[in-house]
Amino acid sequence: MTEATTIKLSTLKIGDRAVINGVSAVEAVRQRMYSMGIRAGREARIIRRGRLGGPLQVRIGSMSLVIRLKDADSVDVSLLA
Amino acid sequence: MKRIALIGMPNTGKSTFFNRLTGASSRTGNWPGVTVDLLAAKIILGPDMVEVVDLPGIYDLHGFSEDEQVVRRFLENNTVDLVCLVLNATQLDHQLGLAVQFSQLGCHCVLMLNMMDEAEQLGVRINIEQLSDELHFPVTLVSAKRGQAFPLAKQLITQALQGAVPCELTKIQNKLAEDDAVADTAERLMSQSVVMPVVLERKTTEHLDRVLLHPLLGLPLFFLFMFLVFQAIYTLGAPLQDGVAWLLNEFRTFALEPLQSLLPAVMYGLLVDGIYDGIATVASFVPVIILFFFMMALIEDSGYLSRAAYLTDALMARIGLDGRGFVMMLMGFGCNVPALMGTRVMRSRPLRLLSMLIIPFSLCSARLQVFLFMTTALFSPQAAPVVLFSLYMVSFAAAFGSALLLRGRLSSNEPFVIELPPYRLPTLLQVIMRGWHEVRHFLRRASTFIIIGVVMVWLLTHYPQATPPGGPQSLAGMLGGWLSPVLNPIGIGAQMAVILVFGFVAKEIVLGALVAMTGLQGAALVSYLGVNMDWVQAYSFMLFVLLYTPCLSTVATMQSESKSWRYTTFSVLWALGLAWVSSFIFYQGARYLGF
Repeated sequence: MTEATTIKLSTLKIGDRAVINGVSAVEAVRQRMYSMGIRAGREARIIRRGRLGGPLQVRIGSMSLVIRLKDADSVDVSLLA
Repeated sequence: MKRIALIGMPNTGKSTFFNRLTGASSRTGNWPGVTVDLLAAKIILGPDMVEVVDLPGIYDLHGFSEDEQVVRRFLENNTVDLVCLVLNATQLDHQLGLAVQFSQLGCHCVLMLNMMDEAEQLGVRINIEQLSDELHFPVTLVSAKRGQAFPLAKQLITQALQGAVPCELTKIQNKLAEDDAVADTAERLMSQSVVMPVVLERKTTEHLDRVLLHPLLGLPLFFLFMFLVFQAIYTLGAPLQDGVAWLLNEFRTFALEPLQSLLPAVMYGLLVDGIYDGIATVASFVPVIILFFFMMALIEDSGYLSRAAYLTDALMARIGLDGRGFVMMLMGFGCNVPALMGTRVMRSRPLRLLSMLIIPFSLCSARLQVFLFMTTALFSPQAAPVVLFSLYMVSFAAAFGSALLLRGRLSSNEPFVIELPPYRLPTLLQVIMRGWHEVRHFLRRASTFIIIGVVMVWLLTHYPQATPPGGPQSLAGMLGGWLSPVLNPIGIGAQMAVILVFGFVAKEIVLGALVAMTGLQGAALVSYLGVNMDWVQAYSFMLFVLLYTPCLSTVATMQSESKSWRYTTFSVLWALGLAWVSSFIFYQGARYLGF
């Protein structure tokens, strides 16, 4: 099995599923994302992408989240087949 | 008296639980250690009188957000007999961590797993006994919205309170385990005691979102909804406001005016023209605030507010705001006061302050009255609608421009991550309670300030001489004279300057003041204005009226919501400055071009 490459959450397409590896941001931002369920090991699925650089809608477990692209940039994920 | 702290995550129905537990008796208050107002109520549980405090919704006891700090400081500075934790039973995979954190603190807790009705529907199964054993505190399922199992939940709280030893917490953060350890425990509890279906079937929500968040249809639908909400508030609100005005006026005519012959003129003036009119000003806002928050509760509790934020975020992010700020700004076109209060849904303080700064530029219905009168009086029927439209454009430009200029000072480093809750039908109880709370909040916080302001303007316009009120012999008239070096360059004469002083109190009284000062009405007033002002002066005046402080109630609300005189003063000065500069550029530009 080859190691899955780490990509940014913001680059995923609608319908993609990925495992979160971590958040590379300052502590306060990481903490906030963590408390919203964006933490290593969780699976995220892209539901929709806003138009004109609008935010992402991501499903993590039972929660549906809206994340601004800029913030999704700091979330590292590995794409699931 | 014993004290219960109600704690839970946002979107768990915590407020609904609070309302069901406490009824309508709650009031906002200040607490040691925290700077924000919290809702609290006193109720009788078993043998005890108990105070229940509703703390802000938090995701994590460990976090740095304002709400999380408020909760920690509250617990560190106030004795609490029992923590009543409310979690959403359908989202335990995200929420159990908070319960684990509380079990580490070692204070008395009960855990309410709310929304049991939804959990049942979705096929979520929870082993209550096991969960309770592991967490070391009582756990029960409940539906605060439908009242299902509520008597049982109340009984559980009452029982837990009996054995409770008041717990005094210090340095909460040191007591908490590492986040990862908490997450591990939460996950272990999850796998032991909770069975969640692999795919949570939220069919209705998914279908609705497919339409309401549609890439092309989403935004037009959003504007349509906003328009309908707006229409609903003002078609229902206008007659109610008229009704309140009529009642107050009747009271004045039949109960107060007969006093004129009995009381000394000064006393009568102060009591009736000053204080009573101040109370009337406050009262006139009540219907529209109630309606506004009915609608807000509908939009927010249905889950649509987060969707609106999603839809408008691409635009709003560029000016340092978020979509919820845009919703409030649009609401501001009806009335700025409730729109300012509505920004409370934003958790980040800088974001909230920036949103509150731009809301007063929304052309509210009171300013619209003034503009409708002036445009019909001074412009041709063809030009009038164009002029009015241009004022709306200026309103948007001032708001967006201010946000762009000030976003650097009020930037928030909080990530924009919000939850999209499933669509839910709000209950009538929730909606009514919301309107009721907000009106009480407004009355408590803003009324004194507004009444004092109205009395001050009465003094200004009636002393030392009051024929006519605000005439050249009065303080206001003199003020108008002194202001002329500042206001002449923007084409506003001394008489209209006094009108601006009145307008600071409320735009509703601008036309009345014009009538009182000129002694003219209707067609006579129209032709008087036409003779005394050309269109350039009129437009410059309207620009100024649009941009400077909307009314005293806005200032009062700004202060009570921000709790900062510095911020409030800045906002007033910013608006005044922008008003003057805009009018100056327009007036001098138009004159330079030969108009």
